[in-house]
Amino acid sequence: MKKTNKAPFFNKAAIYFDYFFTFFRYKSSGLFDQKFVILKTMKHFLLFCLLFTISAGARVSIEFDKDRIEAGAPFELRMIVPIQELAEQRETPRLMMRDGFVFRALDSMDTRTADFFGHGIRIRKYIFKLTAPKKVGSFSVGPLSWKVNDKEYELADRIPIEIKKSFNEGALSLSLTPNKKSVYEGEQFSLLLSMRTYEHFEGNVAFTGTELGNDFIAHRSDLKDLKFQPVPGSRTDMESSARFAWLAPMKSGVLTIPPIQVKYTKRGAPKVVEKNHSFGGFSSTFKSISQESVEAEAQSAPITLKVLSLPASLRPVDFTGMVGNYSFEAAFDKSELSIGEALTLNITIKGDGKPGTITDPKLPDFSDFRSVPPENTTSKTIRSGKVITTKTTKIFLYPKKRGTFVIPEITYNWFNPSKKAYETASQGPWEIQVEKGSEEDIATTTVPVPVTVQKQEIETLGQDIRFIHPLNHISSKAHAFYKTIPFWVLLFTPIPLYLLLAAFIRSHRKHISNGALMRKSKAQKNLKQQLQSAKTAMQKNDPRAFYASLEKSLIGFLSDLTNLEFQGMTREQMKETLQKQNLPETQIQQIDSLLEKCSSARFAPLSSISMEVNQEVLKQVEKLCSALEVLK
Amino acid sequence: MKKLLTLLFFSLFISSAFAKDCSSEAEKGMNSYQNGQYEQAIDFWKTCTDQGIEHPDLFYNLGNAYFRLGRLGFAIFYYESAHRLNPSDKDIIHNLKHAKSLTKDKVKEAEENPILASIYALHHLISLKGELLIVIGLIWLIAAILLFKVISKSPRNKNICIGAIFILSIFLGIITLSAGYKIFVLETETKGVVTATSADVTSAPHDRSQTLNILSEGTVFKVLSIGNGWVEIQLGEKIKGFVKTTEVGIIDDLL
Repeated sequence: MKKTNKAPFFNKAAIYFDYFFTFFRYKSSGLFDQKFVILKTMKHFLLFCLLFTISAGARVSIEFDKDRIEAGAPFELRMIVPIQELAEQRETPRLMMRDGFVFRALDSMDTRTADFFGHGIRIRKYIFKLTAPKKVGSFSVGPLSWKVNDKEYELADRIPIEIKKSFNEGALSLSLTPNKKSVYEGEQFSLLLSMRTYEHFEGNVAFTGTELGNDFIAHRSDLKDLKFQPVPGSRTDMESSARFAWLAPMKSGVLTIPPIQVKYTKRGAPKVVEKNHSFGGFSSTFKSISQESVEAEAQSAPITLKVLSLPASLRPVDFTGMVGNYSFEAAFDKSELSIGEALTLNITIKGDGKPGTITDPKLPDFSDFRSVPPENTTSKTIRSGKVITTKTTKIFLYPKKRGTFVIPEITYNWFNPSKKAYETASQGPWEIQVEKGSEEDIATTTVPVPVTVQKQEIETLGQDIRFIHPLNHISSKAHAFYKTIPFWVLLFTPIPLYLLLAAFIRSHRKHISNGALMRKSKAQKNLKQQLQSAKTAMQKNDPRAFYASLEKSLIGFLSDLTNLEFQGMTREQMKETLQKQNLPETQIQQIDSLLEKCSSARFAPLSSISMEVNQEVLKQVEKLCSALEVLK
Repeated sequence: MKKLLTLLFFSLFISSAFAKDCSSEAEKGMNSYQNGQYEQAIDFWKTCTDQGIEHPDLFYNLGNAYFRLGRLGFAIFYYESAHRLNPSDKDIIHNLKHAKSLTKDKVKEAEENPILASIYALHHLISLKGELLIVIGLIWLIAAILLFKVISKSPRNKNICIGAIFILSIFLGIITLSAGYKIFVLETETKGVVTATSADVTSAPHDRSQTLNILSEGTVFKVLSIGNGWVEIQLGEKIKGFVKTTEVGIIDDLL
C-alpha cells in the first residue's frame, strides 16, 4: 500500500490497515461462506485484538460496517482515531470517490473501547456513508486525507473494497454475441455464448430454451469447449465462452434471435435459524445462519440482426441460392468404356453457407444412358470457426448404345458475401467413348432382369404422403351407411317378407288339402273344357256327341259345385239332391228339362235336330251354369 | 302407387335442385395443388367446406395441402376427419400414419393384453360398412332358410335348416356386436388435434391454473367435454386436463 506525507502520530496506520485488510480478504474468500457462524465469532475476536492493539498503540484504523459489501448497496467506512491523539487544529477528514462509489454523508461519534482487563480508551469514529458501485469486482476509494495543524496528510492512497453480488440476484449471467452485425440472406454467422458465474453459484446448469426461431437454418454446437476459468482480479467469479451455434437467415429484413434460457442452482440469501434445546431441565437457544440451495433461471438478451437481401443485378438465371465461399468439382471416373459397364460422375460441392444444406447443380440430359438413383452424402465439419458443409453426389450411368457422347459442362453458382459478387464454377465438357461390349454385357444391359439374376429387396429411398384424390362428384353430405334409408330398408325387409310368404304358403297348403274346395275351384275350368268339346261336336255336325258332351258338362258341373257324384243318379234322385242343396225350384226344373232334352236328342233321328236348336240348347246350358255359380 | 311414385320423384327433384355444388372450386384447388400453390388450393377447397360440403376426399386433399405447407396439426386434423367419414380408404390411412409419425409427442399406451389385442385386431378386421353389409346379408340368408324350412316337407331338411340358422345366428350376433360397438364409439367418442405449434395442458379451465403438460403440434387426444373456450382432454392414462379451443381442432365439429 502506497503511503506519502505521513504524520508522526500516523506512523503505524499502515500496519493496522494491513491487519485489517488481511482479515477482510479472508472473510471475502469462499471459505467464509460455509463456516459463517464460526467466522462471525472469529471476527469479534479479531476486532477485539485489533482494538487491543489500537489501545496499546493508540493509532488510526479503518473498518467497515458490513462483512460483505454488495453491488449498489449502501455501506459505511469508519475511520477510528483515539481522542487523545486528536489535534486541536483539525478539519474533517476527506475521502475521494472513484470507481463508481457514491459519497452520501459524513458523520462522527465518540465511544470507548474496552480490553480484557476492563481498561480502554476513548475513540472517535468518522463515518463515511457510501453507496457501492453497481458493478461486481475489486474496486477502491481514496485517497483518504486529513488536514491537521494546517498541513494536509494523506492517510491512505487507495482503500481496496471487494464488491459482491447480492445473494438475491442471479449467480449466473449469460449473453449471446453474433460475430457479424449484418449478414446477407443465406450467409452463415456464428453466435458466441459467454457465461459468468458469481460467488453464490453452485452448478447444475441445464439449457431449457435453445430455440433459435424459424427464420434461420441452424447448426448447434455440442459446447464441449465450454470450460470455466477464473475471472482475472476476482477470487470467486468464473467465466467461459464458446461458440453456441452457426446460423444462416432464411429471409431478409430485421430478424430477431430469441433469448436462450438456462436453469442452475445457487445459494440463497443467509437466513437466521433459531434452535431450542432442552436437556436435564435446562433449555438453551442457539442461533445460526444458513444458506439453502435454490433453483434459478437466467436468460440471454434477444439479438436483433439486419439481414440484407441478395443483389438483384448480375444474379444468374439459374441461381442455386447458396451464399458463402464454395468450391465445385465434377469429374467422370473414366472416359472410355464398353456397353454394360458403369460410368460414375462424382460431384463434390463444399462451402461455408447454410449449415447442412447444399442444393444440387443442374445436370445435363443423360438420355443416352440408363441411370439409377444417385448416392448423396452430406457432411458437416467445423473448421476455422465455420461450419463447412460438403455434399458428394455419385451418379451411375449405363450407356445404352455404342458411340462417342459429348456431355456438356456442368456449372454451379453462388453469392460470395466477402466479395459481394456472384461467382460461377464450371466443370467439363467431357467426351465419353462407348465401345460395343461382350455379348453378356449387352444382354445384361438390354434385358432388364435376366432369369439368372439374383433378385433383391426393393430399396425404400424415402417416404411421403400419397397424392390427392379427384373431386369429381362431391356431394353435400357423406352420411355414414348406417344413417341411410336403404340400410334400414334392406335390414328390416326380410322380416315382413318372410311373414308374408310363410302365411301365403300355409294358406295355399290349407287350400290344396280341402278336396271339395279344390273341385269347386276347378268347376268352371272343367265346364269350359266340356262345353268346348260340345261346340266342336256341333261344328262337326255330330248331334249325339254334342248332346252327350252337353249332358256330361252339366252333370260334371253340378258334381264339382256340390262335391256330390250326380253321375249314375236317376233324375228323381238328382232333383231331391238338388233340393237338399237349397237350389231354387225353377233352376232344378231347368236342369231337369235340359237333361231331358239331351237324353231325347241322343236317341232321336238325326234329321229332326237342327243346328239352331243345338245352339239354343247350348246357350241355355251356359246361362244356367252361370246362374248355378251361387252353389260355390 | 302412382301418387307415391310421383311424390318420390318430386322429392328427388327438389333435393337435386338444392344440392350444393362446388365442382369448379374443387377443380381449381386441384390445379393449384398440382402447381405447388398449396395455400391457394386450401382457399379453394375451404370454399367447399364453408358451404357445408363434407366429403372424405375433400378433407383428404386439404390434409395433403396442409402437410405440404408444414402445418402438421391441421394436416392430421383433416386426415382424421376424412378417416372418420371413410375408415377403409388406404390412402387416408397411409397419409394419416405418415403424418402422425412426424409428430414430436410420444404417447405411452397401456400395456396390451395379448388376448384383448387379438380381439381388437379381429374387431377392426372388417370395416363398419363391411360389417353392416354382412349383417344385412345374414338376415336375408336366415330369412331364406326359414322360408325353405317352411316349404320343405322332409324332416331331415328341416333339421339341416335349424342347424344352419343356429350357426348363422351366432355369426350375426358377433358381427352385430362389433358393428354396434363401432357405431357407439363413432357417436360418443370425439377426438381433437393440436393445431398450434404447442398447447399447454392446464389443471383447470382458466389462465391462472398450473400448466401440467405441453402438447406438440399434431398430437391427437380424446375430448371429454367442451365449453367456455376450453376443451377437457385425455391422452393415454396419465395426461388429463384442459386446453384452449384456439390451439386445437375438434374433429367432430366438422361432421
